[in-house]
Amino acid sequence: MRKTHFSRSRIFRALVMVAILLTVAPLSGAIAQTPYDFGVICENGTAPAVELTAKDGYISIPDGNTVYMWGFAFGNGDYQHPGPTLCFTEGASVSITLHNTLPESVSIIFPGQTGVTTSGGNGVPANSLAVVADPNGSVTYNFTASRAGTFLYESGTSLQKQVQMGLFGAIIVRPANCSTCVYDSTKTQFNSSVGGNNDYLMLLSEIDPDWHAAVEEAVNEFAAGGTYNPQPFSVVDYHPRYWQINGRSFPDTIAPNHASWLPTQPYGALLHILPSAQSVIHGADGFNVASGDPNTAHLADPNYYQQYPSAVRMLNVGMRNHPIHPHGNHVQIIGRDGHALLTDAIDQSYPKFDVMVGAGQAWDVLYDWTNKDYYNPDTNPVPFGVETVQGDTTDRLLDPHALNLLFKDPNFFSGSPYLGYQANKNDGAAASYNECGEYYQIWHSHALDEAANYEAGFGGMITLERIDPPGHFNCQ
Amino acid sequence: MQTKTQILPRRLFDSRRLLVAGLAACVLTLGAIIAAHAANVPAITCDGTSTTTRSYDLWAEPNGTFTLADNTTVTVWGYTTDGSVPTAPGGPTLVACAGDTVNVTLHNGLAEDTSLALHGQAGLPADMIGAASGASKTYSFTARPGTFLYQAGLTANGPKQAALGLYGALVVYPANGQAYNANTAFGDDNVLLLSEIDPALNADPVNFDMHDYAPKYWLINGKSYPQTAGITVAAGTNLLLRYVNAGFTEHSMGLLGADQSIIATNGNLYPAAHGAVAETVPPGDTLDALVSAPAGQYPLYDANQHIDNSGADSLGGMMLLITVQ
Repeated sequence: MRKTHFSRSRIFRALVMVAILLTVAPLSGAIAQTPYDFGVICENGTAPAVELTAKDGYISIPDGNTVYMWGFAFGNGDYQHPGPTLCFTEGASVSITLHNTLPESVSIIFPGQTGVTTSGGNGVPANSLAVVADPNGSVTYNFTASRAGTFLYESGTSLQKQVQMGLFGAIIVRPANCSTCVYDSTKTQFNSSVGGNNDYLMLLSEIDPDWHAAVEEAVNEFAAGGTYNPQPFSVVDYHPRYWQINGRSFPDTIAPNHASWLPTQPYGALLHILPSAQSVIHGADGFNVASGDPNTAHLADPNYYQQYPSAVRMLNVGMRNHPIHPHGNHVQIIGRDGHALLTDAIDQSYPKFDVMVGAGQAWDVLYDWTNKDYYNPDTNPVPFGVETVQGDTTDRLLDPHALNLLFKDPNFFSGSPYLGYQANKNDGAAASYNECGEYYQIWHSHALDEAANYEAGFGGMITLERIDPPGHFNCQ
Repeated sequence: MQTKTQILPRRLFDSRRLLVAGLAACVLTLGAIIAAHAANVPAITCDGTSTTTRSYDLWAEPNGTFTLADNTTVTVWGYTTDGSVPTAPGGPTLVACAGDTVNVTLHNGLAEDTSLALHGQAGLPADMIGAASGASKTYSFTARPGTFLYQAGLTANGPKQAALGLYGALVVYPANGQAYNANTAFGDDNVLLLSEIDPALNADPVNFDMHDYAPKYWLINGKSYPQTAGITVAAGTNLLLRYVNAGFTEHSMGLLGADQSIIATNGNLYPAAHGAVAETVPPGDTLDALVSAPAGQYPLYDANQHIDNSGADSLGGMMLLITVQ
């Protein structure tokens, strides 16, 4: 693949601009407003009986490349990457039937589920951890979703290759007594108000495009009447180049769910939140809103402040561990692999600003952002000015909390340090980069080689959180 | 509570290898001292009060021939108890009771300096000098409960020596049948020594550049699946898995179909255990996990997916089967 050389900051800004503008419904009303679509999508609702079809397709990467993929489709629907997120209610008897249209046998394993039984299929070959569905065959897996939490489902056959090719997805088991809680205790409740549920998935994965190209070639050869080579690439040569959250690489990660220009990649990873009046995060940034906030009259109004945190479910189906960093913030770890650390009886939750999500692991966190300093241009101005031109130190932003307003470097700065206000940049550049004075903060893999698309930064395993001004969610 | 089962005869264990678990059986009654366990840790009796002095000899020896899972052979180095040529990478599992004075004498059968790192033992600073070829050196410490790694220390070629097979496990009991205390009792314990082999290093240790280190074989207790020794326990047994990562990369060890309760790391008990499907064991680190599952077969494997033998399209590598009967 030819590497192109652009001014990084320019192309980056352009990409982010496009992504953000396409993300946000404009205020003018002149353009028809599209419903904003973010957070977890439960493809099956809560239906305990699900059909999946293993098939192939293509995804797009922001550097212009397309990658040949395998994956699970919902029912016999269109190819999608990753597989459909499946949601079950705790205690449900789950039945998942797999139909296989790929040229080799596939299966599904369910890490974290116990007592999985199988019917149909064609035994367990030497390269499989579970009963397989042969090409054009089917198999059914049954289990009781006995624990609330976040889980993987993935191929258990020729596992390294089939998982690499995309045969995986997420399972969310919701507590029976609280559909907006991560675990049984209401202490794990997440926000569900304006716009929908603040329940987010971050399913982490990797792509070695050479491996996918080798498999594509083998499949094409087979389709043309040749012999099928099930191992055209050896895992000892594995060298991932693309890094993904929910099947997309940044900046596609911040596009909405069901973005029309990503037809086979339906899931975004943008966290879209309002500030919280109080924080559930123990430690450094677990602050409450400072007095002086003229919105104190609205602290209990969910249209202004989230009354509950957001839930972020981090899942890693790659071969490497990925350290997810909510830059400038902490998250509160409340559960691992379907085991709650926060219950009615105990609180073993703890804050982290870097979550090492190991391979095959699920980390459930709660996250909120409080407008701690409540900077206001009239009543509580930012103590120092903002360095808007690099090298110009006369207007220097020194408050470490306000530094979090800058995304990537001073070249991307919305123009105003105040949540809810817009302003032009002092250097006379184009108008504000945001729509209604919202803030953007970055979440990324802190293995910074993964914050890239084929070694071109910024890309890969990055997403953003978007904090809307109180009372103006989605710039309404 | 626990059922009494017949004590089956233990297989004699090769001092150069970890004990291979055969049929597992254990006897545990309230207040009794455990009499036997068919785990892969050498038998020892720790009554919880008396201490003694234990002395071990480790001979660092090169030029062993080892057959990999795909029937290729490599040269390996290892620790033997008597100066013989190793037949596998790694060294014997050392055992002690908490409070014991342990003396480990390193005998250097290599052509270069070597030292011993006994990670997690107090009072043993990093030894970057070690013993010269042909010489010996004794390391002494007071044992504390837990699961530990020992390996070639940081002499000039220490990292290569560790990658070639100079590593092993140390297990210390506070009392029989306890990992750290009465709340972490177990019926069967198994060391899971995780390691790696890059055949290119083993073929030419002197000239190999460690920048190129890229393992192709992944082992548990010196074997790759399907040759890994499985673990078989009776239903109702609390199984303690003692992970020891002697490799150079992290391994997220996962269990399919049953849960692990992670109780300790580096020989330090967590204030509270936490459940996990897969938990990362970083290089040089150890992890203790309790498993109690109903009858069935449970694959235990590296979720970082090092479950192949040099890339072959068949299950291999860092995986074994736990059978509960």
